[in-house]
Amino acid sequence: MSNVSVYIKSRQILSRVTLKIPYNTVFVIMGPSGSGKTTLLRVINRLIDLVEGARIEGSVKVLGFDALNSDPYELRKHIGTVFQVPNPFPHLTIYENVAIAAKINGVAKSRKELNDVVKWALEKAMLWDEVRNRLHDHPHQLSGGQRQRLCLARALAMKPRLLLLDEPTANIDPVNARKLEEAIVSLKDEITVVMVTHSPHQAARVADYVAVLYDGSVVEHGPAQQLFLRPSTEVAQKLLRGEM
Amino acid sequence: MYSWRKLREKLFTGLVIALSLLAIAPVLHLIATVFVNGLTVIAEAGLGFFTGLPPTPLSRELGGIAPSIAGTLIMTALSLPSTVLLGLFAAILTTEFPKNPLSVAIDAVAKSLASIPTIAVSMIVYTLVVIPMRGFSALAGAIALTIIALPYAYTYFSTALRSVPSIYREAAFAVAMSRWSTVTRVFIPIARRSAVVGVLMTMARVMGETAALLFTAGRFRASVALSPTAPADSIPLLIFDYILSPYTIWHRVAWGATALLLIAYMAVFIATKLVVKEVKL
Amino acid sequence: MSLTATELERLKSILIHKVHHIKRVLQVTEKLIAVSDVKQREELWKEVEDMSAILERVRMEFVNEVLVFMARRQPLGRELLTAHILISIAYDVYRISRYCREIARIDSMLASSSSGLSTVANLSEAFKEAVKAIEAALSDLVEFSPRRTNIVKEIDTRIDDVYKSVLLEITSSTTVSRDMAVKALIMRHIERMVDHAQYIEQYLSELI
Repeated sequence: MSNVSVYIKSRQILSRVTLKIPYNTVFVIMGPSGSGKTTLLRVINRLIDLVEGARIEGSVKVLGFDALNSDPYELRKHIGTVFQVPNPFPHLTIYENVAIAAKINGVAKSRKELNDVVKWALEKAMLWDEVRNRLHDHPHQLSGGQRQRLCLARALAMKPRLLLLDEPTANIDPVNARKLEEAIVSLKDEITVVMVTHSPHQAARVADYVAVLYDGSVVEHGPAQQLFLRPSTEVAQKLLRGEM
Repeated sequence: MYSWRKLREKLFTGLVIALSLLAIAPVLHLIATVFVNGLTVIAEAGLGFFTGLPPTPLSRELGGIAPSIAGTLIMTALSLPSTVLLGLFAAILTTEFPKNPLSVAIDAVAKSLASIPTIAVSMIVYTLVVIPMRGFSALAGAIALTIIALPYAYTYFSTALRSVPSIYREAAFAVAMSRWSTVTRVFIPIARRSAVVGVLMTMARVMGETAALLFTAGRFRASVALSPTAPADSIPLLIFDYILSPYTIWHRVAWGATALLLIAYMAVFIATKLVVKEVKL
Repeated sequence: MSLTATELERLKSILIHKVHHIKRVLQVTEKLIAVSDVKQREELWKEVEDMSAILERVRMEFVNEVLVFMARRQPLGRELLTAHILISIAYDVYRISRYCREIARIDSMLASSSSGLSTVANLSEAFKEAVKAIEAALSDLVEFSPRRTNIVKEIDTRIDDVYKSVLLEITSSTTVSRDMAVKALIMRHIERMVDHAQYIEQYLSELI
């Protein structure tokens, strides 16, 4: 992202954000509420288009695409997204929720391939063992944490090259949150992961690289080890202390 | 203090139950009256009530209301699909592109169409369809019914689509679904119960409309007309005409027709509850 | 001030409180090296032994408290570094007292046969130098700032040189006198004590 600024109805949300996200890492964007973290993610997958009055300046290159000028539907085929509130499709079964993502993106050509993709995605999301005998149940029969892992499986079934996670554990219990974090860390060999969180401890647990966002600007960024032991800005230190 | 509080609670509960019964009593009375008066007629007439022609005023046989049943079915079959499709597409347009000038216009038109008196619609269709066709017809009746039912269908479908939380739109976009796929594969299936209820409410509106058919359908009861361009009758029209007549036998046929209409409505709504499963969010 | 910061200040003050005890241990050990009277020396051995034992127990309890702080507050950034440094410095302070205890033990073994360490050449002076270095490091610990790093470094270099010269003397002779052996042992402990003073300075520098 280069000099990206976002305005929503004349209010500036992001200010000249420049970031380089390395492939096959877990890149965490940290910051207090209202700092523009979710907006930043939505610029990457062009879900910002759904926001009325949104205007973007700057340039964004994602997986070789010029994200701001490409067809958003084409772009989104390569990007999986998991949202803060678990949102599995309620009218589809657990199997169908994962399968639909694979079908739409042409990942599986036959029934057998589809079954394999669904199993693989559920295993990667660490949900397979809990749902293998109830694939025809509906999501409302799952707990909140299981629903969120189902959303992760759905995103993975697209075989994306980039995975965006917007505070994925914000609304689930601590046990499921840990399982989800383990799943996220295990993915980085195959996928680039960009995660947004307001919890510095979660960032400490999963991140390879961290960017600290405050009031729409990147105040500090770098390898996680460096930032978590020796932050160079007062804003970052306050964030780590939980004072923001 | 304790027993006074309990007493107050019981009094309040009793009051709520009594007022609720009072509210539904007229409906229950209505249903009971219709069934008592109507079912006896149908029982007496037997299967002939559905297959026979209406009796003459001085006849002793009850006969049947086959032309009205056929007319109602034909006009419903003609107007319902177009009403549902137009209403659904209009609802999809206004839900997906709410700020589009066309959406704003559709919304405004739907609201104003609903307030036009149905008899005025009947007169308009008479002028625009019946006169050029040089005669009444089921088609003219169907057109009038479509115009009347369209705003309601649009409102039902629009409400159904808007009731789906927007998080599912984001989820659909996130798995790279197009706008159209999002509506057809996510929104409509999630709101399917509301959508089906919308269809049924439209059907109920269409089946039970009387004033719209006064100057359009033709009130043809001499035989069963199957052609859409021929004059037809409908059950509500028959009830309207026969109840106002001075003949007892026609009053009885009207009661029978009313009971049949009510049974049809109840069957459809019960079927909805059993067949269409609500999507639990 | 946040709860984490308050807790951290409390732990720092506990560590700083240990400084008084270790200074006392150093004083007693310095006296031990200087006196020759056996009865006096007996009292001094006991004092060093007791204070070392207390310091060891205090260290274990202190480390526990810091670990509990880390588990509860899950500090990050400077606070995490500070917690690590507190544990490390507590260990260095404890080791200094242990070396004093070792010196007292060696002296107690010499008790019946000699006038103690006071007869070994230049040992008292070397220990005094070491005490200067350690006190400089402890003053920096109290201020939590490495202001006297150069002083400690200089003394460390000098003590290292003395220790090397003792080792050279031993390695270049075919026989070693008892005094020489004792001097080598004690100098080794003194050299290690100053090393730990250096470590304290290094840890304090990490916080900058």
